[in-house]
Amino acid sequence: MAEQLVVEHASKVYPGGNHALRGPSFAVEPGTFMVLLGPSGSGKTTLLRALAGIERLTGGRIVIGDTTVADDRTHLPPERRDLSMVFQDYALWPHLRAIDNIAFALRRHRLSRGAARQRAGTMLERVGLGHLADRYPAQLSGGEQQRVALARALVADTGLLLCDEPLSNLDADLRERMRVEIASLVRDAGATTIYITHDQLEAFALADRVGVLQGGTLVQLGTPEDVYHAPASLFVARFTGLAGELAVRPVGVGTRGHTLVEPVGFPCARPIEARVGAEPLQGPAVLAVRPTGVRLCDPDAEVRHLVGAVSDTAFRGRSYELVVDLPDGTRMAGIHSERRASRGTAVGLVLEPGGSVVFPDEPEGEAAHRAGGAGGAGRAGSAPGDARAERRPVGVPA
Amino acid sequence: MTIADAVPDAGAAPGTPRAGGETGPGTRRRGPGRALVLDRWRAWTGSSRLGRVLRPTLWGLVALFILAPCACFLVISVSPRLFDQGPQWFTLSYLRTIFTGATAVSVVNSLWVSGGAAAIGLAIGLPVAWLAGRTTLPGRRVVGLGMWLVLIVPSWLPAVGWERLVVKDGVLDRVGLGSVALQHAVMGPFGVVLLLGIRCVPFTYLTVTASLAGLGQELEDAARVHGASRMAALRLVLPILAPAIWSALAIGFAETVSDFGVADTLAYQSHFPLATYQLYQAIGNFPPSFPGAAAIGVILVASVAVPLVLQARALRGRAYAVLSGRTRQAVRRQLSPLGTAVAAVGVGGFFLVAIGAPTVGAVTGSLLADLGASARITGANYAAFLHQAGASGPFVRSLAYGAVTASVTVVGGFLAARMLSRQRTRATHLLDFLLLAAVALPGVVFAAGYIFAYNLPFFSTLGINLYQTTTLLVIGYTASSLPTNARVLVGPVSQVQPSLHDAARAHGAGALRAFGRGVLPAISRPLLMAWLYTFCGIFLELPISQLLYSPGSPPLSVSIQNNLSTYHYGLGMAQSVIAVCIALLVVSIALLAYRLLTPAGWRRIGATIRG
Amino acid sequence: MALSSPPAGAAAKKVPLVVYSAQGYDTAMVKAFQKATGIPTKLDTNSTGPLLTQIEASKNNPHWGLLWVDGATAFASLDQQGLLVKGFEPNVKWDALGKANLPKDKSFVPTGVTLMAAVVYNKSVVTSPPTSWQQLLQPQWKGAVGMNTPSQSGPTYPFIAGLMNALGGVTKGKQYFTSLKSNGLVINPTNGPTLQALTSGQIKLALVQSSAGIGAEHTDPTLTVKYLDPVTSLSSNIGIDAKATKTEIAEAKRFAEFVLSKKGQAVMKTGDPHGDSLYYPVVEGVQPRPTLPSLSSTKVQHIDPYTWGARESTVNTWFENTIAK
Repeated sequence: MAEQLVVEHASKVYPGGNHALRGPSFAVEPGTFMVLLGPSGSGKTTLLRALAGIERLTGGRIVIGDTTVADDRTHLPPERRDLSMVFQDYALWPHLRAIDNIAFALRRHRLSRGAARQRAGTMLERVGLGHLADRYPAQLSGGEQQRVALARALVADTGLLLCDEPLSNLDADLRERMRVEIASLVRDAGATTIYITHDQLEAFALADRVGVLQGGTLVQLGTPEDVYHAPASLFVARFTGLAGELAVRPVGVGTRGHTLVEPVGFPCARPIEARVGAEPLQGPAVLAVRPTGVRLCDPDAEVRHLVGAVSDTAFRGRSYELVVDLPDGTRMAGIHSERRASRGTAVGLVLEPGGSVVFPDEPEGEAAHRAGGAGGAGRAGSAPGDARAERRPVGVPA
Repeated sequence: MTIADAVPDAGAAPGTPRAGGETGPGTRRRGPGRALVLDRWRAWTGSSRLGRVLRPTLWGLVALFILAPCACFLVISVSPRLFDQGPQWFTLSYLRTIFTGATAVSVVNSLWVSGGAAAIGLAIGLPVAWLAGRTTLPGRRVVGLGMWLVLIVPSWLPAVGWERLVVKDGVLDRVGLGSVALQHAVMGPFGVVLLLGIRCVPFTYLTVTASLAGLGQELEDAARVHGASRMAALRLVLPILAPAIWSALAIGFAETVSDFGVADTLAYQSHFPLATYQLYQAIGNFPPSFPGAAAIGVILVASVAVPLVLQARALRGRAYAVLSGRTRQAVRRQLSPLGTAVAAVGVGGFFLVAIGAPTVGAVTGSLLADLGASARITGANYAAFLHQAGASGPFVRSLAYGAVTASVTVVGGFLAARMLSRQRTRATHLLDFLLLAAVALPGVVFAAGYIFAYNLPFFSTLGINLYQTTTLLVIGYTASSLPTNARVLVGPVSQVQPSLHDAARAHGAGALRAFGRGVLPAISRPLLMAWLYTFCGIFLELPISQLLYSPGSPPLSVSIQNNLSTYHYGLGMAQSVIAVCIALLVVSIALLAYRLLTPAGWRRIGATIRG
Repeated sequence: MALSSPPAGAAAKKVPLVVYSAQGYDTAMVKAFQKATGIPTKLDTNSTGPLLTQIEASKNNPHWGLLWVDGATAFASLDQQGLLVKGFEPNVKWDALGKANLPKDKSFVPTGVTLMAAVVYNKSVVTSPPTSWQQLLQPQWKGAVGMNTPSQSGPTYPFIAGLMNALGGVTKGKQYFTSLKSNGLVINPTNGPTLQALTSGQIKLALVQSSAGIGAEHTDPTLTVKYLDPVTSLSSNIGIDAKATKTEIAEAKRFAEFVLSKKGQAVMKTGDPHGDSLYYPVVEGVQPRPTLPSLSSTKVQHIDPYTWGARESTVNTWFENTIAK
């Protein structure tokens, strides 16, 4: 009995004037797995906590199912919202055994103690921890704690499941395994799920719908494919993984409504055809290039747009990933290659219109959000948070 | 300057003497030997060798200064001859007396009164701690200070205050509020339990506040999200405070069992004999019956097994380490207007009773002329105090004793608390019992035990004459404060996850630095509290001071007691009031200094944010 | 931290004399004594109880030189345990009180006398005070009489013992106190609280040490002091530690002589003007302070400290468990 979720103009101003939420509105259909993606400070945690009822909105409305749980007059306490939640730190009660932690969530069903423990036991089996039922949280590993927290959230079969960056405290390998587990367990349960993360890989892998938050505002909402192929802003593009950015200027109109651009700082072999991400394209513009939008060719091949030199090669098992430096020092990363290329090798780059989007250049302040494309969407299994870790000025116009 | 500031930055060149080494023993050395000593010290502290050395040392000190004196005293109950206190080498006759007659009655009274008082302390202290720590209770900032006042005031003062209020022709009678029923209620078992219970409130308040500080918000949030109402969430989360709660109960019980201030005043006046009174009487009679007193001491020690067994059962096998870097600051709950009113009245009422009564006692004792016969207020007693030659000597002395004792005790108490909270082995269970048993022993037992143990002729032939030296006095103070300290610190220390220390070690800090940077900030507040508690306790400590002080240098309490017990009751009361004010001043200054001088991050731990 | 070490290695000539004293004028006396003789003196000033506890607990290795407290029974008991130097009598001319209080074996030295118990009352409240101990049993004084408990107040045992002695023995005495209890006797720990019970109106007659009562007159002039016959003398005494070194014993003897000298008596009379200085002197030629009532018409009795000292523990326990309860 998954519930529909509607959020209207949610706003939250903390004492002291910090606007954590600036009125995002959206609706989530029953049974949908929705991921809210955003960097720290984007308001995603506040929004999630407001959905849970832990945080009180200063304006706007939240409706779960048929019930308005929060508006100007109402603030339904968390326990009356019929939801469950996986906390970032798991928030397992240290004095309760694993099974009792889970059984606690069944209190609202008013089961007998025996029945509750039995259901909790079954749930624990499903997350593969049947043998650890009597352990205290401190006696469990990080992954085991995570599973217990997940089991606790799933056991009561609530209509709405909230997940607060549940994978952020796990190592890369475990993270990937738990992601798959969460995906399958949650979809089995069929609950409407709101999942927040700052990791676009996690977002794309899990979501039916992805919402991107920036500064308390919902800047894009759509399927993962929509967001990836048609980012609504340079910020969204950057945050969802780029090979690199080029400072460009528009030079003409291309086919199928695309536009033609040329780099500002150095010559190119021929104009680049790119999709227009946002209008108006006057003055300085930025070409955001997805890793999937770059193809290698010979440096003197006809099809080439740009020429650069390989500065790094990473073996990724199935293939190689190259980093290529362009003449002005701009770096393109995560470029797929079938062959190893030694450092310094000259290569040609072809930019596909499907993976190249041009935006008006964002004001200086927004550059802080610049998420380096290095890593990019093509790098499955990359370490958590690397989108931010490698935050370096890629192709900032001079 | 704070301790963290005193620790040098990482990356000091290897081999150069670091400021961090200032705490080591090599600091007094100068010249080429210094670096070597420092190295050795670092080598010591930089490995588990520290633990290997520290643990036996701590045990040794506990054995030498806590166990030996107490054992010397208690053993007299079965073997008076051992210390020239009777003809028998072995006898059970003294132990038998505690099961007969007036002594048996007083022992039974003491046991149930202590249990009741500890329970009252919990019942009041827990909600007050929660209200002050987690809600928008008006005046919450002064609650802590008020608790300190309750703690600092010697227990006889409120007892006298209550008496002065309710006795025939007492204060309430004079203002037309007196009633026989009230007199009977206060001057009887009920009044005694209530008064001692109120004295237990700060124990609960302080331990629970420290623990609440480490209790992140998520645990409550998680309960609410999974369907628990506010109360149900509270009920779920409260057991996480179990170590603190049990600690408070055990201490409350032990402190009450050993209290003499109330036993000697309100309980005595109410014809409600308590065991400590009987014990003092056995010693105070002439010639004193040390074996009789020791027999009562034995039963007091044995009685702490009760809360300990309960505690062990309640906490068995669980880990409570919840305080870590990820702990989210708790949100202060906005109380409704009605809730605010109820809470404020409740908390205010508590302080009115707990602090108002001693104030009455002090005022009628020190400010009223002709010993309170009229309501004429006079400053004569304070003037007399100021004109007394050398009046400040005892104050200064006791300030110094308090400061030294508190400093030593907090270090020892922390180490003991760490042992108690880390490994639950047989040895630590034993240590736990021994420490609490020591709390349950009245100060006079400690003091007399010290005389027996450290005044053996054997020592004098070795040229060691410790008895009636300041050294032994301070050791006695420390030994008597350490048990309570260790117990109070177990709560907060058990919440510190080992990772905090390990993380600092992993990032290149030596053991001391790891402690200073990684652990100390997390427990700095409880440590400060423990220091202040010890300081205040020693500042006004009486029985040990009386029996062990170095002739010629009377501590404050001896000076006060000499006035109170002779012809200068008003002067003694005035001294007491001044002493309590000074103690409170020290507490205020220390708390203010902590607020102003420590890095902001230290104070964040346990702080709350407005929701 | 500055911890003083024991004076173990002090020069052989003058060892410090350790004075255990519960007298209000002891600080002044020690100062005067040091000044007069140059003998270094260390004072352990405390209530009598803790002092005796210290002596008893440390009797296998004592550190005191002389003990100066009220009450002869404690000294008798110490004497019987062999803890006191016998046969020392300072070269002074005793008056009648002095002679009566000097023990036969001269194991301790009386330095002054107070009386137990004085009846203290408010002149404006009590217009016709009692004239005998028996009158206290009358309904008129029901719930109006207060006294101290001997387990906490050193001077109270001599009072109880004295009354028992006067009434014809322990049994008769017990009967008297039992009757007093039935008449609503109020028990307080010590002189101070008993006097406070009087001034606050809780009781009308306070049975306290004479010095305490006369001292109370100073602070509250409506109070007055009256002696009922017989009243028991309570001597303050100096006893010398038998295990002390020869030097210290000699110094202690000089101390006792100094106390009884003109100079010493002047110090005693002025050192604690509202308290212990309100005593009756034991040497001829020294007058008590002017506020002390004359003893010319009062019957003062002396009880044998050895006989009554032996009964102290049992009587006190009986009192504590039956009367004070």
